[in-house]
Amino acid sequence: MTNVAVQGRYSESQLRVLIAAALLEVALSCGAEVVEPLSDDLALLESGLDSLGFAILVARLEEDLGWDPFSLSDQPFYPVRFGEFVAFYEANQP
Amino acid sequence: MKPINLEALIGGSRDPCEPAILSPDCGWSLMDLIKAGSCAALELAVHVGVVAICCRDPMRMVVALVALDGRVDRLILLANDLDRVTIEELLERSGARILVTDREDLDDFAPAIRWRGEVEPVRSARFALGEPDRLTIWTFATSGTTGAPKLVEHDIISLSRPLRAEHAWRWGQMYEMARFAGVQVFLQAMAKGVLILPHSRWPLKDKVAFIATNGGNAISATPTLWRKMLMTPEAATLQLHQATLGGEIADAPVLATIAARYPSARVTHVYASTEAGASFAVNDGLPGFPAAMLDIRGSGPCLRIRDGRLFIQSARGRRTYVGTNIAFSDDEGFVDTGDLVERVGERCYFKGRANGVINVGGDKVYPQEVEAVLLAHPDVALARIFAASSPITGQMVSAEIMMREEVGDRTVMTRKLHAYCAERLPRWKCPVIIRLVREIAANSGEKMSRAK
Repeated sequence: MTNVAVQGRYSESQLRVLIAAALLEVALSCGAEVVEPLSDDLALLESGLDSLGFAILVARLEEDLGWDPFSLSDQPFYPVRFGEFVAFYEANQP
Repeated sequence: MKPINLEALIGGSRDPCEPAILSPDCGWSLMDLIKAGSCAALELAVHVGVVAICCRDPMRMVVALVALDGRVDRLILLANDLDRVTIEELLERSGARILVTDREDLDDFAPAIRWRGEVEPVRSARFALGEPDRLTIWTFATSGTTGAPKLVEHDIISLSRPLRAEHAWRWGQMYEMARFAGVQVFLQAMAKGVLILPHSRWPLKDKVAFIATNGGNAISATPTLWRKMLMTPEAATLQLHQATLGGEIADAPVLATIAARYPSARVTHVYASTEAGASFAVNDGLPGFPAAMLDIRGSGPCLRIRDGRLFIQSARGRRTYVGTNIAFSDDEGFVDTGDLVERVGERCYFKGRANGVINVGGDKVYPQEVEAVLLAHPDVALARIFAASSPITGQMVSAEIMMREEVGDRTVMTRKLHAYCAERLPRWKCPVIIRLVREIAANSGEKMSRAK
């Protein structure tokens, strides 16, 4: 995945593209088939990745973005659906 | 005096005709459980006297426990996913004379009682189990990290001692019935309340949905299982009054998320192990436990920190694993839990396992194994594997690697190392994060530091 150099904040649509690309890459690396399209109401654990896959995705995103919304957010959060997951990244940037 | 048994214990705390268990097929009162126990398989088991049970259907496990406790000398409870070789080894070590099972893949296992017919709340006049007349030893298998599980003995008195049923909750069973934790949830629900028992082979979301639609308002599970549950849409339909975590470190994010998701629930993390039994519970919603709980000599288990590890004094003195002379408690009865604990002011925090084992969403990883794989790579000089925290799996495997020579393109090399591990290790053991470093710190003991 290429790091999109963006000044300031990422928009939700930029993050959506980044996250979807990273998700596909993680799925590819562990031989999982991803359910497409990645619609907002798709339950994450039904997207094709299991919880280990999501742990890898979150770690990869932190490497690519340079920040981790789970440590930046002061609200505890477990993502359930894809749309929430993207929105969580959008809302919790440095 | 007749010794207490499970049937009498349940009967003493509730109306034997009121529903006690809800399975996917029907509701069960204590009387129904007793009736269902009058069958050929269990009658034979009573005659044999030292019996191992391994059932896919959790309802069978419940019926067998009620029928056999007090009527056999020893019960060995085996998790339903154990392989044949492990079962054979555990049977031999425990002295079990026969295996009672509903597993089709064990059809040719011998000696075994194949328990296949419908489990129904119907009394059969043909089979009689007789009156309970002894204190049955319950033998549990630890969920060991490597090798065959170890066997630990309990009985209905030690198992039910820590239970205080304050509320009649409807407990959703997320653990396997044959595990120590599963029996704890079962006994808790039998003391007061109802046990909602989904089928063990259902996917997690179906279990959660079954518990929610049947009014389940109390759940006990490992932090790993909670994290997975919280990611299912079905978890939003639960209305919990009690959320219990146990078996692994309950970290601040998982505790806070459960509290936020279920505002009317009391969030409790319990410390229990097969060896030390159910030891203590913390209800303040924070990770770790108050230092004031240390070194109290009283009716409950005594907690002590020695060499940075948590020791728990169980009620009895020195105890050994069944079929071995390996002691898991000292002469005073203190069990070394193997959990690293750090005291910060008035709070004690769990810092992981003393043996460095990393828990990746419930799967255990020995750092040494992953390090050995990396060190076999011709370009790797040193490798250090340690746990990094993950909001999704609790922990994940992280690696620092020192290469023999300066690397040109670090991204390409990192990718190659990821691929190298993926070819040689199961996925949960593969480092999620690989950092190439110039040197790797050794601690004073000339051992690599495993601290993060």
